[in-house]
Amino acid sequence: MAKVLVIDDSPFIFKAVKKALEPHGFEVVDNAPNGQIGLEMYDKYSPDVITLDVTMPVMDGIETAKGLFGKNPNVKIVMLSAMGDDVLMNEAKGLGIKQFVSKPFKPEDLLQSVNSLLGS
Amino acid sequence: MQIQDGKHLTFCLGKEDYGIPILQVREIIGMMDITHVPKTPSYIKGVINLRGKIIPIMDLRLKFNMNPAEYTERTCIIVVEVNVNQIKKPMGLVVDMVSEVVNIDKDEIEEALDYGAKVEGDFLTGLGKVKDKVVMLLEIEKIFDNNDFSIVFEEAKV
Amino acid sequence: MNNEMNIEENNEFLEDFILEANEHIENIEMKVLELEKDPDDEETVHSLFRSFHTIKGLAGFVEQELVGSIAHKTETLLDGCRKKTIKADKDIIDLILISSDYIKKICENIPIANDPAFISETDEHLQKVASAEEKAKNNLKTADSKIGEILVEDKKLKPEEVEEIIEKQKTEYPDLKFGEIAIKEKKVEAKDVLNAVRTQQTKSNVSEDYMRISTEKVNTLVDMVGELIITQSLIEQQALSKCDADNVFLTNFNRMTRITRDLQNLAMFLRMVPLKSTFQKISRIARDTINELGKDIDFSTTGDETEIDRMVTEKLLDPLVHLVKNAISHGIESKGTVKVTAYNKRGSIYIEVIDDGQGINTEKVYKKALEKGLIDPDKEYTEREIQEFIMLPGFSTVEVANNISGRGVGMDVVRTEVQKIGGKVEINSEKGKGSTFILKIPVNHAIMNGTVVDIEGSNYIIPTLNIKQIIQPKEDQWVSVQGTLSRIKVRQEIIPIISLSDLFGMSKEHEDPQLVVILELEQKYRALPVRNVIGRQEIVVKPVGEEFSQLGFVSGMSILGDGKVSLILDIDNIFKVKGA
Repeated sequence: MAKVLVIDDSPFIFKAVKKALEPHGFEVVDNAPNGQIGLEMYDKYSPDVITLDVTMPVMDGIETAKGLFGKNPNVKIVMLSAMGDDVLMNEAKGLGIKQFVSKPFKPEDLLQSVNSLLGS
Repeated sequence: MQIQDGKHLTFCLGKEDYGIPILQVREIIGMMDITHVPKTPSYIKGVINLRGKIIPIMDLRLKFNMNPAEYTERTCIIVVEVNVNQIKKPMGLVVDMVSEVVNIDKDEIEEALDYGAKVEGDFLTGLGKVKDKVVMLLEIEKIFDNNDFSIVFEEAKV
Repeated sequence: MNNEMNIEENNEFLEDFILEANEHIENIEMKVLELEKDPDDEETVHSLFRSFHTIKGLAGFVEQELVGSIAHKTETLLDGCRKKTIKADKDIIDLILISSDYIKKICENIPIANDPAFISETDEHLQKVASAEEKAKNNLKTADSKIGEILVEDKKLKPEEVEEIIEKQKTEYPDLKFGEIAIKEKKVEAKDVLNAVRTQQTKSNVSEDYMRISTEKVNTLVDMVGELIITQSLIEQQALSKCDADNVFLTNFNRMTRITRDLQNLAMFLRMVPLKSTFQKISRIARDTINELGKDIDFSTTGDETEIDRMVTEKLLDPLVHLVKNAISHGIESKGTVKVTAYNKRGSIYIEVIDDGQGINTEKVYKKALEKGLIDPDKEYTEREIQEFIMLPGFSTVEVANNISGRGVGMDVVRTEVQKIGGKVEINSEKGKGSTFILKIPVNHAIMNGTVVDIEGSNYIIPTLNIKQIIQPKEDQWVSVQGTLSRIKVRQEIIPIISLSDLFGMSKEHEDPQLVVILELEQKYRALPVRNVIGRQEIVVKPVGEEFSQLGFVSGMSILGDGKVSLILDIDNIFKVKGA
């Protein structure tokens, strides 16, 4: 079973990701409310895929992504963005993030992004 | 009531010695003209001007139902700070004479037994033994608690 | 949304959304208060931004478009604050809070998002948000183009080039500042722009400059000016009697008096603040109360620019809130208007709470007062007097102690609170037409002219305003009733004498009065026997401490020139004490 780590400060999003992925054989291991804890949890769980929010307190999505790539250049990240995050999305692309899902997302969109990351 | 040990300011009312924790004492001043405020209990002597602040003054002898004494050059006003409704308010106490600051350890303090008729019993936190004297340790908040002031504060809370 | 999701799941998601949105709203409400205290705090702005951003993100999942739209527009506003293109002033903060309120309303009652009336209300609000953004951007652009002016002055740019750059700013570079575009277009060098910015800053320093000063310092300053006035008063008394022939001294002394007067006025003005924020708080509470009760009431305030002493505004809030809540819950049945207005008149501030509701039912009030034994059943009272019964202590009971009328806080407490700040409450009510409650607050109650009198050996102060005249009565002017001196005849008037026993609680044995001070209050008179009149002076009024607030005859205390404390007689209350 592929492991998924959710880094997002919204419990709602955590639930939405679980509902989208768990029925399809993914194990959503935990929810980190900010990037700093996200990096700790990455070490703890070694997830296969990470869903990463852009706007979080303490450490935002971009900083977290840098940290994650620092740990593992091949880390698989799906970035969850909201409307209007274009500038940040460009920056994220520059770091190497290839999959973006915008909020609100349909479960199948998220599923597709995750699968395409794992497929490659 | 909590046993208060540590440094106390001791003073006399007649032949009896009393003590207040030094932390509650703001200053000691000599007697000065007190403006009488009518329609207040007899032990409320009135108010004074302390460097621009108006402070109420209580005569402790009268508060403790002792006979009033004539004010001499030894008579002092001890300005204390009392917590009323979480605000610190200065109040003055007229005493016959101020003695000294003494340190009283916990083991030198005896519990104050209920004296029955004597009014003071309510205000004591204990009896301290200093040299060969017995010093009655006062709880300042109780002194201001039991009088008309508290009725006023209660009303103000509504 | 995904067809696989059933109704139950949808509801669950909606509940989760509401839960999380409410958490963010709580955060917003708290952070807004912090922002008000420190509009430049980046962390606070960030936190507010994130909350609206998150709400926007989640709203899409549960198809709450209106919430999403409100959150989005407010998020943009906050983004501007983050980027420092918008300053978080009071108006912006208000808009942020209102956005949060609307979102809160929807969360409490989802269907309201489809209510056309509500939608048009939020539309209006969002337009205000949009125009606030535009305004801020334009302000920035004006600041920007001044850079252009300075660069022209410095001969780094030609006027036509400035025009060009402004055009480019509109079309090609909407997010860049004037100076940045100028550098990008290679019209000027970075150091030129830097110099221009520095020039701009020095220029603005010359214009409006504000300082933050601690309230304590201002209060100390006001107190010290008060002491100065007293000392000057004493010098005046002593000096004028000795140096009346010396014109040079008099001229200089008068000049000093004028300067101290100006200083006194300035010091008082330091503490004056507009009623705006008090009225804003009242408006919120009024709107909440109107909604709670579901009444159709139009609430408005005017005169919020009226200024009043800062400490007085704090003490006025509760009484005003009570009056407004009363007007909304009791004054008006279901539909009507409630207005709060403030204005200056003849040295006092008037604040009126006006409603056009049912008016005070004087029959009911009279009956209630009679039942409670608060009035004399044999006495005939005027309409006005009966209306004022509602301010009698004991009139309002705890039976209505709910959220609306505020914990059974009665009208009597309102009156007492207002009196404590030296003011009074008047009622004007007409059955069927409505009621007006008028608060009259003296502007400058901290310093007044007082007459010092000796009453049986102790000095008291009477506000000079209230003294009509001082007489030494002759035998035949006294009028006795049942053996006690109870009235005095002055010219054609028969004036009641104030009983010192009632006033001061002293024994009935009083000395024969040497002098009588005729007190005046609103065309009514009383006679106060005194031993002597000491003199008149400016006095600094210090409020009566809580310890003595139950003493009706004292309205304040003051420190006289000799350093002794003197009590100021409360004329209003004295007129209510029955004569001897």
